[in-house]
Amino acid sequence: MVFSEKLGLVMAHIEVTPEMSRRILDNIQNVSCSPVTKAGNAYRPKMKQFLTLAACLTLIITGGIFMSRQFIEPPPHGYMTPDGHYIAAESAEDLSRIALYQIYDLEGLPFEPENTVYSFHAGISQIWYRSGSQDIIYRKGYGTDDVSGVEDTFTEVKTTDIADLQVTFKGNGENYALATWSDEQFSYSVFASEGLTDTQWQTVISLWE
Amino acid sequence: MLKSYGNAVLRLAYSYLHNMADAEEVLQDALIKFLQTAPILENEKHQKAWLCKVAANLSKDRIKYNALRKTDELSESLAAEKQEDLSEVWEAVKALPVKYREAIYLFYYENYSISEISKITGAKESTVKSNLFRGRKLLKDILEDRYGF
Repeated sequence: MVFSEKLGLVMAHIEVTPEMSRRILDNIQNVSCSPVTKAGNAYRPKMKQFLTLAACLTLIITGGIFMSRQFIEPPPHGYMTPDGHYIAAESAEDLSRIALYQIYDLEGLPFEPENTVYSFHAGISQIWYRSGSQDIIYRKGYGTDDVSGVEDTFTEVKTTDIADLQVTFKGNGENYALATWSDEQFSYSVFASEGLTDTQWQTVISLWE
Repeated sequence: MLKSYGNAVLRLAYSYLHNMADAEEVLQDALIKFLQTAPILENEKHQKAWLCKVAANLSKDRIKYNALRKTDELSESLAAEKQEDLSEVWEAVKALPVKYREAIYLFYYENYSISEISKITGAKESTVKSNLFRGRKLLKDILEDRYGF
């Protein structure tokens, strides 16, 4: 028997047991509704504490009120999102009711969306526009941390002022794929799977909210 | 997600830490990070790779900064089952330096390509190739030619 098969037999001894699974899920549930304090960040503004609490309450309340809502699966192709934990909304207005803060559709998109998916998860609202192979994903969440969920490494980073917003753009090559900015209460991100030109970004962000 | 990737992430963490309690904590922390970050990923394969990358980093951080627990349940279990050949393979893998072990594990157990291992471990492809080559040589020295590579 070759080495890889032997190693497979060895590692088969390591398994997630039902008890372990229960422990992990219990702990995750506890953590997901505990305020997160970053190391070295002893001061936490009262508003932020309130918003964190509001996010947790929102999760609990919406979980109760919207039990009849379908927990959506990610679209059948393209970008995956954490499975089974999203609350589906029907429109930006509906999403705002679930999130307990206002969120509007993006305007000035470079394509006419064929599909738009509204969802809410862990305090983050997401509007996902798709046309063919192009995706634009808009997110809004509490606090000033990056809510984009984009893990790619980008070679180009620049910060530009657009309509009183300080927007950070990230990308590889000519077109930037990710824009992030924040205000006093919320963080925002727009991810374009195929990147947007400077003019396209300018249009989307200057028409924002 | 725990059902789909739990074993893979737990096994990867165990390959670094050699202890079930430490590996379980890494699995839990990786899942928490996933839920908090809500990463945008292209497909299920990327989802697993994302979790593996986070688990690898968390495990390496533990090796660097924490006192690890000494019990190796896998060694004990293989010894109790009198599976000498499997014990021999595990002890040989365990004896490898971390950078060789992670390359060997991801290549031979998870069947990841050099480029995928490079993304998961954050090492250059040339470094992964060299770690794989050196790890394989060390394994051959320990296991001789009893198992084909």
